[in-house]
Amino acid sequence: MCGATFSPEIDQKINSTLSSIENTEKLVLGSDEHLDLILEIKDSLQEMSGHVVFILEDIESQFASITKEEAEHIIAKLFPLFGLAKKLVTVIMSAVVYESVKASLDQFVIDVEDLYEILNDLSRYKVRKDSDFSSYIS
Amino acid sequence: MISLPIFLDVINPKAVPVFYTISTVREGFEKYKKTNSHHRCCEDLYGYFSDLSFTEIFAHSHLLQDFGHTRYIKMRIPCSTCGGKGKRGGYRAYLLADKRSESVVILAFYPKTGKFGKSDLSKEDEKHAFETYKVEKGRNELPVHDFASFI
Repeated sequence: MCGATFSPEIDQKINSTLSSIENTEKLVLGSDEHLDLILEIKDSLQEMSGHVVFILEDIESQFASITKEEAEHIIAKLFPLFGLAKKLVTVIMSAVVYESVKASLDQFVIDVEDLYEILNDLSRYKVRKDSDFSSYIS
Repeated sequence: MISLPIFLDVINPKAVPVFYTISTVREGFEKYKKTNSHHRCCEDLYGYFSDLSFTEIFAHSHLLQDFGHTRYIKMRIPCSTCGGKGKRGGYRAYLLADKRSESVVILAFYPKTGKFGKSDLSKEDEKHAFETYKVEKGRNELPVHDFASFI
C-alpha cells in the first residue's frame, strides 16, 4: 500500500474498475439489441468512467506530495487498466450495441486517456525526473 | 487579536495575478480560435483564471517542478465547446507561477482533442517552451497578457 498521504480508497477503486471492465466485456460479448442490455452496458460504462475520474482527481489533488515510491506503486497498479480498457473498447466497437452506447463509450475513452496522461506525468516528473528546467529560471 | 498565518506575509491571498504569455502560446490562441471546437479557447481560459487568486494558482496541486520562489504547474481547463463534461478532455495549460512578482507565465496551452489536439506535451515542445521563455524574458519581450484583446 502507498504511504499515509495517499487515499486508501484508491486501491479499492482501481481493483473495482479492473473487474468492472472485465465484467462489461463479458456482458457485451453476450449481448443483443435488447434495451435492458444496452442500458446495462451504458450504466457500466458510466460507472467505470466515474471510477476513472475519481482515481484521476485523487491523484491530481495529491500530485505535489506523491513520492517516487508512491508514484511507482500507482503506475504498476494502474497499468493493466489500459490494456483491459483498450480491449473492451475494441469489443464494443464491433458489437451490435455500439451505436446505442457510443456517447458513453466516447466519454469513457476520454476519461481513460486523461488517466493515462496523469500517469505519464507521474512517470515523467516523479519517477524518472529526467527534465530539470531550473537553468531556465532566474 | 487574531494573528495571521506567516505565509500571508509572503503571498497576498487576494492578489490577482499578472499573466504573461510566450509567443508560441499566442500563436496557438490564433489557430485554435479558427476552429469550431475551440473557438472559445480564450474565453474558457479567462473564465477559469478569473476565479483564481495568485495564491490558489501557486498552491495548485498538479505541481511538476518546484524552484522555490517559482513553481512549474499544470492545469486542466474545461472547454465549453468540446462536448466533454467539466475538465474531462478540455485544455491543458503549463504555467510558471512566481511568488516574488505574483505573476504567471503561460508556457504552453493546447486542446486535448480536435484538429490541434495533443494527448500530451512532448519533451521537445516542453524544452522549446522553456527556451522561448528564457529568450523572450531576456529580451523583455514577454507581454502582459490582456485576455480581453484575445476574445
